[in-house]
Amino acid sequence: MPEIRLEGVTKRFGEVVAVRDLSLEIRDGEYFTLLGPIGSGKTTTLMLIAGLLEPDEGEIYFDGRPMRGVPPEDRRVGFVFETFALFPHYNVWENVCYGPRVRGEDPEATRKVAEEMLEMVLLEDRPDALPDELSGGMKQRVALARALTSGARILLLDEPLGALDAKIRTALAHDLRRIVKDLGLTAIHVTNSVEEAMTISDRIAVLHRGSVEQVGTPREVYENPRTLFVMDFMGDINLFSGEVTRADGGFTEVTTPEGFTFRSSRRTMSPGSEVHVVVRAEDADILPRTEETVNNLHGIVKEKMFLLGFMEYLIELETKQEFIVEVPLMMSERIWEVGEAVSITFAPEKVYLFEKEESL
Amino acid sequence: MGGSEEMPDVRLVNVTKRYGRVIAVEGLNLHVRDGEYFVLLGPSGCGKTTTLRIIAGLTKPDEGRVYIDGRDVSGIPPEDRNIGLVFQHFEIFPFMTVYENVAYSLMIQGLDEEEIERRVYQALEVAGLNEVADRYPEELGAPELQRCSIARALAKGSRLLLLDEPLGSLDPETRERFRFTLRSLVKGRGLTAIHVTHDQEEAMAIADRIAVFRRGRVLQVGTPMELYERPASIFVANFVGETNFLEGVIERSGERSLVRLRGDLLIEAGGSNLRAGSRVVIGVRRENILLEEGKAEGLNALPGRVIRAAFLGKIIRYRVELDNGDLVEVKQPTRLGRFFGEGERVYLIFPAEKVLVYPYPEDLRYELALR
Repeated sequence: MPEIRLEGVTKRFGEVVAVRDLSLEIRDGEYFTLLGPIGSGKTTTLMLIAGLLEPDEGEIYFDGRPMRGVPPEDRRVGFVFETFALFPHYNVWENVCYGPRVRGEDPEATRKVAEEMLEMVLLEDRPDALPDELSGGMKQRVALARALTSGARILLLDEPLGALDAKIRTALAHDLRRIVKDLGLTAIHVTNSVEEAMTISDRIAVLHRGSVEQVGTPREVYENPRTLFVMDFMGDINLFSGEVTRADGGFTEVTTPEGFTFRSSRRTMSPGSEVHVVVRAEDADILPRTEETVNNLHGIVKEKMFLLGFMEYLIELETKQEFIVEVPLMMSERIWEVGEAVSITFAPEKVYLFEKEESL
Repeated sequence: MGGSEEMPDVRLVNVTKRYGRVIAVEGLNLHVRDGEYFVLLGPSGCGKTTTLRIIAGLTKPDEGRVYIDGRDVSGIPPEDRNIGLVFQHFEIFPFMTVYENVAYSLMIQGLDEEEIERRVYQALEVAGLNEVADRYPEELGAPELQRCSIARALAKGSRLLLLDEPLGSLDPETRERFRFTLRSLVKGRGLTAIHVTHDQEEAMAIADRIAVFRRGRVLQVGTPMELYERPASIFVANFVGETNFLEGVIERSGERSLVRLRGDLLIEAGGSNLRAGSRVVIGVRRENILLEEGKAEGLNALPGRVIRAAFLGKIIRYRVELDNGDLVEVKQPTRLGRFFGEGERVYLIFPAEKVLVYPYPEDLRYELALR
């Protein structure tokens, strides 16, 4: 099983630096995701690994072997794209066998592998169907079977679930991971969906403006975001700026120009530092109006939305700023109504601090 | 309440539309109330977009009538129905500024300049686009472009907004934030909105009421909470939210029923009036199950083993194999502060009132298909 290493890779398109001095190590048999917004360089990185683009600087290694000059067809990579790229006039079976057939591989061996792969993607009963007769999810499974039949050990997936209905997306995400793990492949998956990345990955690299912001397991990236960008990208946050006014006993206290006081136990920073203060929507709670001032903000419920298993509230603070709170239904004692006067509270270990020079 | 305030703003009566032999919508009856944010939800090909086009007048139904504000609009062309249309792809003119895009249809209507300016600036302000009025579309991101098409609909003065996957072109993070924006825009101006989506999470977040479509028919209409707590069918329970289904047999019926699952596991479920011995499917939402280490006496608990644990941020998702071999998916808020590893023995606690009982369907696979 291959291990993939990128060392100091840079790729420019004219004036634009798409990927900047990027280093990454993807382990053998790992389901690895490149996660980032549009324009973060994730697809360019995938194309560099595939050999569809060559880096301007740096080197890419497969199992320690430099890949510069090795054409895509000799890298043993399989591709799955957002749009299905199946031959419309070939049926499922012909699509899946296409690669090995044009390479002149032994028909009997091809037949065996193709059968196995169709079974793997749960389409063994549809070999005669034409792509048009299949749903989006099925087409994507055919594309996957085709990538696998060519003997690829590395699977590169560019937004493979992007064109599918939300419900089918989740189901196929589970199938993808299962297939990659069962076959012992290494998978690199590009997406801009945090939920998809968290569901499917062993590890995630969060990309921003062509650079890696953080690499880690879903839990590491969520629990200890290294930068404000990562924290913001991973979910719904509430952001404030202020100055550290006290630091003792493991707590850092921040005062904001609006007069809010935040207390954090996550990080010690020296008094006088300018900082960003971040509280996640799901780390805050709503109470009836309190008199507390530290880690307590006061406002009025402006909007409430029902998410699956959660209630999301938009609270308008006295300063007219908005604060998002998400409370699991399972842990809700009551539902708050629009117009109610409430207080928002959060624990010191849920107050994240970032140096001011990091901006979004 | 009563009288004209409750008069439905949009009413579809017995609407049917066929394309050749394919039935797009059949015998459709819907009431969308005045000032309501209404969502048409369903998988691809379920008839939701056809329904929207019929309301807009872009598609002519084969049978049935459409009433807007009590008026039969069957013979009225789209441009005279006083509706604002917003699509997934913004349909913004690239060679016009934001201002000009919003002003365009008003100029066509031949309004005087002062009136146009007043209306455009008001619409731009509501849509939060004041500062980019003179920019060209290529200088703007997808959320601004979508605001621009909304502003255009608002400037026309339409009281009825029809939105076809309006958040579909936005990236996932922006999409979630834009839900609030869209809903407050509609609510703030007292408009009626009919919004088409295949994304149940979006529907739940944004709607006052939702109609769930499948294969040209409406299966259920209700508030998000009603659909969530009392899905009328296995399909709705499966399509809206994430539900586990287990097969069993009724032991006892009533306000609480007792169901025997495979492997003789007994579970107390919600009410049913089915005869003892009837085959049933029980449904329980992933987030309504609580995982515990030891069995607490007297609780409605089934034993199992964690076979996959995935940390998704605010929730942790578990796949648990019950001792009878059935698989159950569970979502726990990370906030509970409990983590179970793969291989760990657990008990799944089922709140009886949240376990739904359905008669065993003729074709379970069909009920569970997502199309």
